[in-house]
Amino acid sequence: MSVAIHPEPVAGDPTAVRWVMPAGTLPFVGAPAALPPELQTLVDDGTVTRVEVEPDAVRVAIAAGRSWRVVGGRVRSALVAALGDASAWRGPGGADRDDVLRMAVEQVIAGDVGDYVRGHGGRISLLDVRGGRVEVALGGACAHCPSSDLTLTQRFEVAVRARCPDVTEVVTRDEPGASGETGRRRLLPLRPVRRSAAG
Amino acid sequence: MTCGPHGPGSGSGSDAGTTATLDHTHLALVGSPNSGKTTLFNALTGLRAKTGNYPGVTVSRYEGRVEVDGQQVLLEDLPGTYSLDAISPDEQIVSDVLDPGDPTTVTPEGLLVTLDATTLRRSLRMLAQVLHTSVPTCVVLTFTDELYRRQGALDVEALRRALGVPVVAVVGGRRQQLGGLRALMVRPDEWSTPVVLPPTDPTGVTGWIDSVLTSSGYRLPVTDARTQRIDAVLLHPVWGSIVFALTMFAFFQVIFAVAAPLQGYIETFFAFLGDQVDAHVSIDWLASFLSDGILGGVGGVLVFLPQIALLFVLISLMEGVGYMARAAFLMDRVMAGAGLEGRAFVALLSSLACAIPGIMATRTLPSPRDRIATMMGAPLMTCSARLPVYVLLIGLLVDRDARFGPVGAQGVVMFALYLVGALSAMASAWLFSRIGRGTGPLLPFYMEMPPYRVPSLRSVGLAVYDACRGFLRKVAKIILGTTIVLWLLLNLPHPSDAQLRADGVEPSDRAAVSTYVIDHSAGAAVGRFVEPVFEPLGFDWRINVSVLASLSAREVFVATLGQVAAAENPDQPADALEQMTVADGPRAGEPLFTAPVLAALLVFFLYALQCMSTVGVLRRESGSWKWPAIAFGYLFVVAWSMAALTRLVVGAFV
Repeated sequence: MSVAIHPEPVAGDPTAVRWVMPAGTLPFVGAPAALPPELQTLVDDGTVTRVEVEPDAVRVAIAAGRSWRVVGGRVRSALVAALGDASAWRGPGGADRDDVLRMAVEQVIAGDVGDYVRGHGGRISLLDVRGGRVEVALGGACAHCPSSDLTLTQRFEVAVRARCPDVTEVVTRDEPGASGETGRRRLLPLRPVRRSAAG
Repeated sequence: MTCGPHGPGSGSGSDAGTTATLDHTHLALVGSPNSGKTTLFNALTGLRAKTGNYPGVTVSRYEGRVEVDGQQVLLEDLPGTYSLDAISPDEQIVSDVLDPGDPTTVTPEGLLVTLDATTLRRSLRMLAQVLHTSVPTCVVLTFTDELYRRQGALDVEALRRALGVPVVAVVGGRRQQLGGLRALMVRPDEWSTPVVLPPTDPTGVTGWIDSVLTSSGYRLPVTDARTQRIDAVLLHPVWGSIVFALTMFAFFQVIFAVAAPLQGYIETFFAFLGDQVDAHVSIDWLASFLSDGILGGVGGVLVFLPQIALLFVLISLMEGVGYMARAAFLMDRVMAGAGLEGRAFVALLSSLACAIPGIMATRTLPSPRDRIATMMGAPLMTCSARLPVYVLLIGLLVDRDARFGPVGAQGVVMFALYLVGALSAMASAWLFSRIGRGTGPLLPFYMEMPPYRVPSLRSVGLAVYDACRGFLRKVAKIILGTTIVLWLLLNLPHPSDAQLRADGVEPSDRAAVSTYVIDHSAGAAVGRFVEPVFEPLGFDWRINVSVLASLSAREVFVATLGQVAAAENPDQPADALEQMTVADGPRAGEPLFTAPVLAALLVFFLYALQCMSTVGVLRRESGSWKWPAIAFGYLFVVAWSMAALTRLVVGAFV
């Protein structure tokens, strides 16, 4: 079965398109050190100028003067073929799987869930990611709010898991500098890790 | 239904394909059947639709105007379609209109595509095709309320991002939600367009749909638990069929039991009018025209208004509750067994109201042969125009108080007539499809089972109002016109007093004179002329004239008999029919409406294609006179033979 993808525009950059793919398709984020041959061909002939991997998308930029309407179909076919075999990709040097999770958390905080928290007068910030364990700080209105638990499990964790199935645990600590060091620690029920049946 | 000129949207003639010269924005509604497309159209245009036809074909075209901040938007409602692959005439029109290269139709400046949120996976397939037309597109998401109620989920904002086009959720055409959509409708050229078009190959499209739905958090609605429990019984092959039969049975009992008293009031009213005419109109011929012609004829048909109204109350209740789709599903299994597809049954089912919409519904059939086969069967379904004829004849045949156990016998006979009509329709459709096609594979058939709902009073009211208005218009136009012509035929030539005396009729005896006049009229001559044809059925010239006249509309049969009765027995026209005797021939003097003759008449009307409007529609829909001629011919032969047979059989038992 081929990998299911669809294109979304990138605000402010008409040359780039985010090709949204199932979370966990590729085990790294950032600019790949080596591309599968199908994509490399497009880079070689000058169509594609940049490829960047996100937790649930591949961001592809084409040369200025080219039109996505024209080359979109070719890029799609190349991507579907390339994503069918994750082992043909090589991530940036020194990267590990926690980088994927870190970027997923950053995207969630910058996106809808972060907007929701900020809209309620709260603050959410990433402190650390290690071995699938995410540590965030809740501040502002969230600090002693009883429903911040719900926000964290129902919204934040769900959104992170949707982008990166590697997450095993979400832990909160009070913001650095706030009084008291006793962090509230939550163990979330582990769900089966969703993996696309690639290949 | 009428062949009007097509609307202003296609008036630009030679420069079809560009609408820049027009002063309004031209948009079209695209969507699958049952996706809430027409509800949205009505909500936006306020039910002020204009109908016409697409050039060259007979698919009707609906358009309406929407005013947004002083700007005019012309909205066209395209036929419902599941894809742009164009396998049926309806789908052909949609793909022609959306094709800018097609010179016969004007491509709109923007498309509103209605997607049913509860069946997104299927609907997105068509959206992918629509996006490839490169016409600016805006998605209108319908039934989101039902999606959420049935524990489904969808992030509309994420869907908008994934599709790259504007997405607006609108529930059941509620006015406050339409504001956003209306604002969008003015400037289709400013709508966002997808950065890359969806793929065209089937696997690619499936991947695109999967990806779009996953990223918009789409969770399929669970089947409504209540609906599921009810369906377990109602769609059961055995229990379901029993419930269906009982429902239909009760249906016809209600039509007789409830409508009878109302009918009585209308009869009293016309009797009162008749008395007024007799008392105040002194000119003989005018009094005869008013009381025999108009009141006897048109009044005789108007008496059936309560029955028509009730029929449509019941039909629209069954439709609104969601039972009609189940009935169609139950019957689909039967039909499939006979090698006919389910769409054909839907067309036959619409023929219960009138064969014309039924025949037009065959456009959804992809195979031309199945279309013809279904058209041949549709006129056999008992349409509402047969109702007055049946009610009148059953009233003469079966005593009102006669009962079969706990149920009224009149309703049972009516039920039997509907049943035989439906079975004959299916048999005929099956036969014609066999002749035309042999045994080919059946195309897949979608039928949506709507969840059970409490029907809205408004939609029931609207359906009944439409039906009654249609009936009254028919009475005012066709039936009134035919009645006047018949009155002339039945009252001319007028004999002189000398001629009357010569034949032993006293000119001062009004009843005797009118009987004499009608018996020597031009109409009687026509009736007697065709007598040899109908003699074996036991019809005399009066029935013959009525049967011939009913070719204009079946109800005219009742109107004509009403006229004859009113002329022959001005005091008690209601009893005149029962007392009527055979005019000439070997049976002269015997009662005319005996049980065998009544039964033969009922069966004749069950089969005969006594409706020129239906013949006209058959001609339009099949494109030649061949099929209407075949339909008229074969139905007449069947009607005549079955009526003769019925007369023999009933005669043997009575």
